[in-house]
Amino acid sequence: MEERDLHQAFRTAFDVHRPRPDAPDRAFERVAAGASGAYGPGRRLAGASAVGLALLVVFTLLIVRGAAIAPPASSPAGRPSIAPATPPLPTPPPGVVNQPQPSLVAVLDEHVALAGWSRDGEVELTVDGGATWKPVSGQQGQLFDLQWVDGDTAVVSTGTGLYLFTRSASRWARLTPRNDLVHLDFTDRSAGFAVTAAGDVVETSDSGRTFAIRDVGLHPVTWLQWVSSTRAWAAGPKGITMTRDGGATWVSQLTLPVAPGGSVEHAQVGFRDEANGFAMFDYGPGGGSVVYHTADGGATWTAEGCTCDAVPTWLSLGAASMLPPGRHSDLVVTAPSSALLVVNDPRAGTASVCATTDAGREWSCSPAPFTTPPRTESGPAALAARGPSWFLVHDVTTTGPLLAVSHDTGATWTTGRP
Amino acid sequence: MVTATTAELLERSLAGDRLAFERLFRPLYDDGFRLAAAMLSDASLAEDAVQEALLKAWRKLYTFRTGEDVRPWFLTIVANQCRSLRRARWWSVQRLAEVEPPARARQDPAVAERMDLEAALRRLPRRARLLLVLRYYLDMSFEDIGLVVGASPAAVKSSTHRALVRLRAEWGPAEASN
Repeated sequence: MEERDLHQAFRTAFDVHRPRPDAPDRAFERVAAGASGAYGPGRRLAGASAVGLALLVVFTLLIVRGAAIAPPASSPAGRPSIAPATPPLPTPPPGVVNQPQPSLVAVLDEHVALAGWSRDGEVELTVDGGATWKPVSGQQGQLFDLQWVDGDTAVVSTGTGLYLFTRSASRWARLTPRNDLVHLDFTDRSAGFAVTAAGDVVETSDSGRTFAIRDVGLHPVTWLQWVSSTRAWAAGPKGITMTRDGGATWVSQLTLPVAPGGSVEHAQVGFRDEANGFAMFDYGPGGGSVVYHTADGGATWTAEGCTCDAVPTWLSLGAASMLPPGRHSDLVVTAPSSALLVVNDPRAGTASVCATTDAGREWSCSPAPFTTPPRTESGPAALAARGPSWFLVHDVTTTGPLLAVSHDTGATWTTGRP
Repeated sequence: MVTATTAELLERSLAGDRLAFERLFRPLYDDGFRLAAAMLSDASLAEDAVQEALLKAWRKLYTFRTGEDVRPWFLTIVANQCRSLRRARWWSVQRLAEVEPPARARQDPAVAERMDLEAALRRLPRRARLLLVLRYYLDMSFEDIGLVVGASPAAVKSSTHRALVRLRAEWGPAEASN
């Protein structure tokens, strides 16, 4: 075959591949989204210097404070030290963008759930749908996140490391001393992803012995969710990115500005399948939130509900429905167009559970079934759901941890204390 | 050669001007896509590779030496991105028995030749495939290919010749029938 025939053969073979007409536009939009990060040209050295300086400050403060996120002191017997009756929630050191939630709950099915409270590391297990709870704490330190990875095993991130909890044996095994994993998204007991306190996404495939940082095209990240082996979404104050190829490449779907007057502090996504999902952006403590919905895998995100008088218009984007004021936490997606979230009034110590069944256009809210003294300070409540069973966990400063379970989608509740 | 306009766009891009960066690199999108499509044999993956390569080009623009040609510098990033994509996706690749193309496709000589050439290229080492794609699909000179792969024009010429010999061996039956 002659040289010119080779050129023709290659063109015949590969000219069948064409980019979609909007592919170049999307590619440069991705650059624009990435350009808002700290690694743009001309800013790299400055960014690296800033990061270095920030790390120096963080480590200096850690040394001065005796290591803010180091394991707490243990008693001589090796048992967890007993926390004071009403210890303050930990203040994150500079550079820490993700704070652990004060209350946590992870549901395996309508009978089995783990509940925990971050400040004292207490973990409770129920196997009878919340009728009784049993303390199962065997790890030490503050609790950061809980996740069931199979019918018998949960991964638990704490201030002293990442643990495996085996329900049948009531046994704890520490996988790694790494103590900055504030959000877990594991596939099984040996592999998965996590979001760190600094807002990085890390991945392990060897039961946590090693973690590798993954670039998801967004930093900092506050939430990550995989819905299949190939598709995942990451969310943070600057927007949402997603991957369709197992994390090899990430595409920006929503870009939010970091405005001088304030910006999103916490973002969360929740998908039930590869098309339908919600996102919640919390605009600062007590500042309000906006909930977005997508029905096309995030190609378009529509702002549906907000505490609209407390968030800027660049965030609410014409959202039509009103959400109650307060700090919003724990977006729980129960169906393609249905979701729950908790609205917290931290000063009054109260919480409400709000539900939507029409993709966020309308929300109905009812008070959480806890009777708390007036003006009782508390952190956000945690909510998890499996079918009609809802599990609500709250940590009120003056009364301690509270639990509530409903098996009829919130119509009636059983409350108690661990 | 870098024209005055290109140099100006480069300078503005380095200062953080995203639009200047887009003006500089948008004309290279098609070349990047063609390289990625030929290396990956998948249009969707090729889009992703070029998109990621553009982001890396933006982030690493400070490494570009003024006075050089932007095209081979960008194609180097695309080629590396294709390699990363292949490496990252190893777990999703399932080794199947050689699949016979549908009978109708085999009856169409153009389709059969295309499939045979793609299959033959896939059996070559990555570097050999890259050299052949740059030479015979992107119609690049040995000098420019040398800038992409980091080798002298003479070395590129001999390597390309050896790659072509291997391709002919893999592609032999189909080529012989032409």
